[in-house]
Amino acid sequence: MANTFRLTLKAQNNHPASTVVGAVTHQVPDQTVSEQSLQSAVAEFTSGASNTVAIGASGVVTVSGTTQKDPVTGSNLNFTNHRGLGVSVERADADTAPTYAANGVTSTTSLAIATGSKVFTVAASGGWIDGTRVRAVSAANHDNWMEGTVTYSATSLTMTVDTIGGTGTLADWTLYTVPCAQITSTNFCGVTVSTALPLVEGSSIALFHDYVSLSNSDVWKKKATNGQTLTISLAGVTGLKASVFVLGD
Amino acid sequence: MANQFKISALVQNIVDGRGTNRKVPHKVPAFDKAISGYGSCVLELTGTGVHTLSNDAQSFSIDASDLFDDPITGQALEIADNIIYGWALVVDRAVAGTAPTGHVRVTNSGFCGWISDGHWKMMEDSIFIFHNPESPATSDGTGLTIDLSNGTGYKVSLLAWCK
Repeated sequence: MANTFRLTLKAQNNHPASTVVGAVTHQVPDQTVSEQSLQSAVAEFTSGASNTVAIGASGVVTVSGTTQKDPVTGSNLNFTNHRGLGVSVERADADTAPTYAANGVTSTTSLAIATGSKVFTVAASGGWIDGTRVRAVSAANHDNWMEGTVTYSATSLTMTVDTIGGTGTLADWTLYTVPCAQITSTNFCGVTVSTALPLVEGSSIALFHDYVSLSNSDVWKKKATNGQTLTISLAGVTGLKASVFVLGD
Repeated sequence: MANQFKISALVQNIVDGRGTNRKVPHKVPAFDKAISGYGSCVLELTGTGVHTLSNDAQSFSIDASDLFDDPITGQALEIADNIIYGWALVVDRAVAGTAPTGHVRVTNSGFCGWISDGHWKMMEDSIFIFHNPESPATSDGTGLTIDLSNGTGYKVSLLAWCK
């Protein structure tokens, strides 16, 4: 089975020649890498908090626990090495905007801007479900904010803050749901991400390792071993689709 | 200044039909993105140094020095609303015909809102692309670090773009 993978990057600044400034091209050299005879698997996720693409025993590739098959031979899909990874987040239906818990719920709980656990008392129900990503923004200055995943019960919202902006101890919070896919990774394709990476609509990641030498300890992390897992959470948002492709040999 | 990027990845399995298996396409949905209206900076890193790309409200910086990159005005690139959108890097050999040794270490402590654990390793002809239209600004002390000290003969082309 011949398999062609090509990843290109083209970046170009074009200034219209009709303006007072003459045509200007500021171009990054085109970058293209390609490789044959790789194996691949694809997956699409539209809901749920624990969608996974993982490496199991003997390098078998699983998607949310289901073993993937080689499309030609029908046998289990096994990776010896990770070679590439791609994640794109788009609308599940191009004409339908994602939906999520209500925005604009306020809280007057006095909290210092910092990472870690923060408990907001809210006057009105936000309708969040556990795992939803929420940003708390100061009404007085939108440069002051905290963001993270939440657990929610009655009038108490607990946020595990992982990203912040600004400083200070404030009590004028407005809470907004961040409609996104949240990505974590355990040494998948050589990358570990413990703090959830939020990918909103229109986001993409592509990673390609062109060369892996099994005898080179420098690249041991890209060997496919049991337990390497990519997790995608769509908790609290409906109408987004996360498309994933993985490459291996 | 209009600014256009095109990023695409295509994965395709094709069996030529002459073997035991008939032609079977196993095609991954196209990863194809064209974006425009962005400012950008471009860098090439060689040698064995350790370099960090970050940004403030006005400009990208490398090793804490602002990058003056607008090809028309010659002024520092302005980053609207303190928002950066994406970055890409390509690892290649610095001199054609001379094979690199070792690897390049990449660490992200918050550039484009992404924090990776430890570092990951890239070798010749590796490529990484990240785009997020709502990336938060880089906080003080965070950035994308390219460590060339664990190898020789590498060239890292680095591109970052912003609102």
